[in-house]
Amino acid sequence: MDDIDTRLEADLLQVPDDFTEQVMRRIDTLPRPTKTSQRRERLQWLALLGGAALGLSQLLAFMFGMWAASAAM
Amino acid sequence: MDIKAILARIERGDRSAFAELVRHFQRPLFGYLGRMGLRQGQAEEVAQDTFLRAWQHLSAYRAERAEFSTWLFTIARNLALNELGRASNSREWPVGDDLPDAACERVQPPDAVSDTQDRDRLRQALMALPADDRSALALAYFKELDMAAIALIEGCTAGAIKVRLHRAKQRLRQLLEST
Repeated sequence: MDDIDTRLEADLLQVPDDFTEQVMRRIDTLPRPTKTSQRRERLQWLALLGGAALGLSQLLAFMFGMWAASAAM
Repeated sequence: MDIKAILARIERGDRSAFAELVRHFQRPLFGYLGRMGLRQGQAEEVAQDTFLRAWQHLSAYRAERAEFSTWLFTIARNLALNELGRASNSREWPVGDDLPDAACERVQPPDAVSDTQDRDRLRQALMALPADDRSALALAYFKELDMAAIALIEGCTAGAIKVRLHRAKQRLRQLLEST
């Protein structure tokens, strides 16, 4: 271990004595995290992808319609 | 420390279990933030925000994807980089405890002054490193994180991390020798 390692391993900053209490005081104002099921997350992603696919297909249909209309002129 | 057991207790409604996580990770987190070049005040804010964000998104943490330390330090890294970017954009001047005392209220022993100057020199040298190299270097001194974990946090390969570490240490050595 060289001098650089020694210097980087040293405490460059101090942890305040009451740091944990400070954090917990702020956490006390927040709601408890609730576990979302993985199944629910997958369904949410599926819904998002489904919506994106629908939007994309509508855009492509519109573009096709524009092309067909302009080709007919 | 049994992280799984602590997380299970939190899930059952025991908020105080989170304090054990804070106590376990606070010192390594401050160590990381110090090596990232943050000042004391900035580090305290970022460290608090890291734990708060971890609390708020605890339900999104998946043990099968990464260790809790990896997940926590990913949050810390993002917040630290945001803070450093914000501070450099606003060209902030250090205030409060970061200001060198123009007139000391109490006389500091020479060793303490020399230690402070040493830390400032190291901090300035660290700030001269590119952010990615600095972050990899800063993470490397937290023993709970191996190369694979650091690579996951940094979003690159373990091989790239080794290159960054080597480059960062070389550059740091050059900077410190030139001051």
